[in-house]
Formats: sequence, C-alpha cells, structure tokens
Amino acid sequence: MLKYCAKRALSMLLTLFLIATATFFLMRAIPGGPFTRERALPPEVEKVLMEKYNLDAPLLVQYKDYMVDLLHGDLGPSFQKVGVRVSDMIAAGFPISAKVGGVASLMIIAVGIPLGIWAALKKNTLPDYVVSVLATVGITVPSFVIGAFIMYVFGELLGWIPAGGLEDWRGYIGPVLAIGGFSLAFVTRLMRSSMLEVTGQDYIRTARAGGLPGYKIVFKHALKNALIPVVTYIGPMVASILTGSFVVEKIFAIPGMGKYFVESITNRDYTVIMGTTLFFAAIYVVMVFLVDIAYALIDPRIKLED
Amino acid sequence: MAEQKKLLEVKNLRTSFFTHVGEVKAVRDVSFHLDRGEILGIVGESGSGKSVTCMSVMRLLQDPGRIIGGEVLYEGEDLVKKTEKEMQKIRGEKISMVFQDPMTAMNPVFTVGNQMVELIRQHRKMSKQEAHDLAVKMLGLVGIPSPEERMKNYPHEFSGGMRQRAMIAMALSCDPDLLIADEPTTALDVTIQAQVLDLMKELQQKTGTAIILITHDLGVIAETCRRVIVMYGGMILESGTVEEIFHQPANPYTLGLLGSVPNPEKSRERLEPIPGSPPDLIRPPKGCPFCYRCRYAMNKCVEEVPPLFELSETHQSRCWLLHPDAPKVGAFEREGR
Repeated sequence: MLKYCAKRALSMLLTLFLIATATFFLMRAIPGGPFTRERALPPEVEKVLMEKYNLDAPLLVQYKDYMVDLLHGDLGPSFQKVGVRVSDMIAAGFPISAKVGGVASLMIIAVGIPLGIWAALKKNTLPDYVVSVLATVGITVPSFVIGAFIMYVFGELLGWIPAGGLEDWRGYIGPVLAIGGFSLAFVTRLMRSSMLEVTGQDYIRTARAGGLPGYKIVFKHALKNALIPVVTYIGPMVASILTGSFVVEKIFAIPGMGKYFVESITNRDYTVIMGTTLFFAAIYVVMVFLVDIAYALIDPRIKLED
Repeated sequence: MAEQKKLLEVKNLRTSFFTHVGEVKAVRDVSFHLDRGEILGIVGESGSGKSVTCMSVMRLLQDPGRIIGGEVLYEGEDLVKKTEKEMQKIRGEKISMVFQDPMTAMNPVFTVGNQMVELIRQHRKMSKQEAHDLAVKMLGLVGIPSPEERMKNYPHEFSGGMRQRAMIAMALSCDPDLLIADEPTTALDVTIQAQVLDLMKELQQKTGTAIILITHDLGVIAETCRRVIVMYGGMILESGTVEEIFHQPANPYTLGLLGSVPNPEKSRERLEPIPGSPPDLIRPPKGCPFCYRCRYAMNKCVEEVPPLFELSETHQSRCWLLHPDAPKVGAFEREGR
C-alpha cells in the first residue's frame, strides 16, 4: 500500500510537470502579452516592463526559469496586480470558493445519491418521473440561469436570501444551488441508472432467492455495487466545484478564485494562468487518486498493488 | 398418506409477462407434483417455460411477470397467496435455489463467508460464530478444500466449479426441504459438470432434500432423476419416469429431443434437429404448441390443445395421436412404443 502510494505520488508529479509544460507553451502561443493595450505603451516603458518580468529572454530560458521557481514553490508575481503574488491570490480566493464548493459537494452527495436510489426503487411511478424531470432540468439549464433565477426570485422578489456575499448561512443557498445544480442532477441520474442496472444482476436474484429482506438487498447488496460509477464521477466533480466558478461567483458577489481562471487568460497574466491551472490540476489528480483508493475499498477485484 | 408424501403440488399454474408488445404467456396451465426427497427433472428448450415455472414457485418473478392463475401448494399451503414477508421466510429456509451461472450469482463485493453467514443468520437464530462454523461445515461438505480459509475469499477468487459448489453449500445451509436447481451445470466444463451432479446426488441422499432439476440436457436428466417433465411452449407435453421417457416416449416432441442427442454408438450418423423454432408466446398456437414443427401434425392438432393422456400411473403425454380414434402412425408407433 505504501509502495503504491509512493508510486502514485511520483506519477502525479510527472502529470503536473507535463501539464505545466503544455500550459506554458500553449499560453505563450496566444497572440498578445500582459502589457498589450488598446493604446500601445511607449517602447521604452514596455522594454523596462519586459525586462523587469524577464519576458525579454528566449522562451526556453523563461520556461527553465519558471520551472526552477516552481520547484522552489514560487508561483511568481502577478503581471497585472502590482505587488501581489500568485500564491497570495490563491490563498485569498481558494478558501472562499472551497467553502461554497465543499457545501455544494456535500449537498450533491447527501441529496443526489438517496434521490437516485429512491427513483430507481420507484421506477416508472410518479416519484421517478418527478425526479427524472427535475434531473433533466438540472442538467440542461446552465448555472448562470439557475443563479440569476434564484437571485431574482428568492433574493429580489421574496427577499429570503441576501443579494450577495456569504455573511450568514442563507448567503450560501444561492451559490451552492447554482454551482452544484448540474452535478446534483447528474449524480441523481447516474445513481438511478446504476441502481437499476445492478438490481437486474444475478447476485441480486440470489439474495432474493435466499429470502433476504428488501432493505438488505437494496442497501447492502445493490448499493455497494451501484456506487462504483458514481464515485468515478464524484472525484473530478469535487475538484472542479471546490475551485469555484467564474459565473456563479460573479452573480453572487463572492470573492472566490473562480474569476482568476477567466480573467487571467483575457489579461494574458501568464503567472496567474500557470498558477491557477496547476492548482486546479493538483487538486484534480489528488481527487483521482482518492477515487482509485475508494475503488479498491469498494470492489475487492481491484488491486492497488499493480 | 399419499397427501403427506407430496411436498409440492403445482396446479394449473399460469404465468404471463405483460410487456408493451403484449402478454407473453410463458407458463400455460402447468400442473405437477413432487414427493419428499425426490429428484424431478424438467427438460425443454430455451423459452419452454421451465425456468419461469420455478421462478413462479419461488415467487421471484419481477415486473412485468405475474402469476395469473393456479396454485402452488407447498406442504398443502398455497404459496401464491402468501405475502412477500411470508415468502421471505420460505425462500432460503424451506425452498432454496441454485442458478445457472456461478460466475455472476454471487455478489462480487462481499466475501463468500459473509454472504453465507448473512443467509444463515437470516433464517436461524445463531451467533456470528455459530453461523460461521456452520458455513465452514457446509463448504467442507461440498468438497471445498480448507474451507476455513476459503470463507475469507471473494467470489472471483473461486473457480467456476468451486463457486457452484459454494452456491450449493449456501443453498443447503438452512437445510431446506426443496432445492430448485436451474441449469446448475450448464455453465461448467463437462468434467466439472459430472462432479457437481454427483455432489448433488450425494447430498440429496444424505439430507433427503427434494430437488427440481431444470436443464436442457437429457444426459443430465438420465443420470440424476427419477421422474421427468418435458416442457414446450409453456406447457407440459409429457411426463413420466426416466425409463418411460427414454425407452417409451409417447410424444413427437420428446422423440425429437431424443433424436437430437448425440449417441456415441452411432457417432457417424448426423444428428437430427427438430426443424422450425419455438412458438411465439404472445400469440401461442390455438392447438398443440408443437403442431407447426411436428411431422405427425393433423388438423385436430392445430385446432385444439390435446389433453394429457394417461399411459400409466406415472406416464402422461399431451398428443392427439394417443386418442383412441387417432390414425395409427407407423413411424410414431415404431420409434416410440
């Protein structure tokens, strides 16, 4: 087990290295730069800036310098926000995004999985249809529509939730639903179909033929098998939800890190692009690793050693 | 006295599947009985209704399948009228089942021991340790080496034959009166098949459990059973002792089945298949289900289902040729009687 974890840690570092490299060169392939403006800067000023941020060196040298800094844990300064380091931006934004995302993830797991099981057990009856319709709505309606709708109806018209910010628990309702709506619907549908597939399996028939009561068949024999595909989805989902969403954070005025993903690219803020991408990638590979461990815990046919 | 000997009596059982294309009449008016400690074989090709009959006895049919008529008397009590709760007490305890594919019949994410102990504790008031000991004993009984260690294994760590042995051990662990084995050897190698059949026979003699053996393999029937039921198109076409069915078959379908079994003594002869395919059970033939494939079919056969003609106390056959007024068919007489 320890050997496996060490092996995985190594391969995760390699993955991150490859992602860093690919992102670095792709980002530099986009035309324009951090100091490109509608009105061009005077050449002298631009030259000084380029020198200051080491942007006048050959690309490969810049790459090497960045990677060396990265190995020392230095994500560099932002090119746009003077005096702010990328690590500070993440340190300020991530806890806020993670709080909203964490609550959303818990909600998805705590609501989506039971709802999916319920729909599967009530297959082709009214509850199943209601859940299916809601799930389809959740999957097809984009988060900014959900967000704007909640904001307008519950914030503006009814005044139940604050117009923005996270001052008390009611502030979480809107962003959590907006950011988690899609995944909640997806997990519900996935759980339902997985449960239906599993209940058609031979071993469920064996359990019934052995006279086991319904709840044991559902919650012991079927559930453990049916969870496998859901766990696969939940890992990467948590990574993406924890790191925030540009649109949702904008609507609900949350100072999370979701905005950096988008803003850094439009601003060609190279170090911020690298920093946020690598940060997301790191959380992602860790989640995938956790999913693999969860697999081995659920399904004895999966061995971690190889 | 005769009543007490009968463990199971199925009377005019009818089971249908209500699909969106129509009602599939999978079992149509099936009646048979089973004595205590007896091994009864049910043969028939795929779709003949043999498995559905047994799933109906166990009340394990799932939507859209439903029993629409008849009685299943188990020790005189009608299982069709029992509630799901009452059936749970009967399943696994009084009647258990072994299925065709041992590869998929055990839950892959729990150990064999866990599943056996769970089943035992469901029906017996036993501590975990007692149930564990009983499970170990049962695994040993079915010939699994070092059963104590094997309890900790997951199903995928067993071979196919071992898994089927474990399934049999599990099915017999609560000492049921009746074991329904639905094609228990079909998915196994021939050598393993023979071992599993021998095991079942041996256990049957030891425990006195009655067995219903469903199969499409006449060889398996000949080797294990005392009485045989031949099913086709959801009906019983012929039933009798093994001697009667194999040496004096009195139904063209049984003849066809026997003709399509390889015979090592006449190995150079081609096997004789029965031409055609089984009837569509959404619109079953008005007459004998076999009439369109039968080489002796008469007008009568298409129009009316033949009754079961009694040929002896144990031997019955559903064929119009057995009617006293029927023409004497030379070939049928020669081959059959």
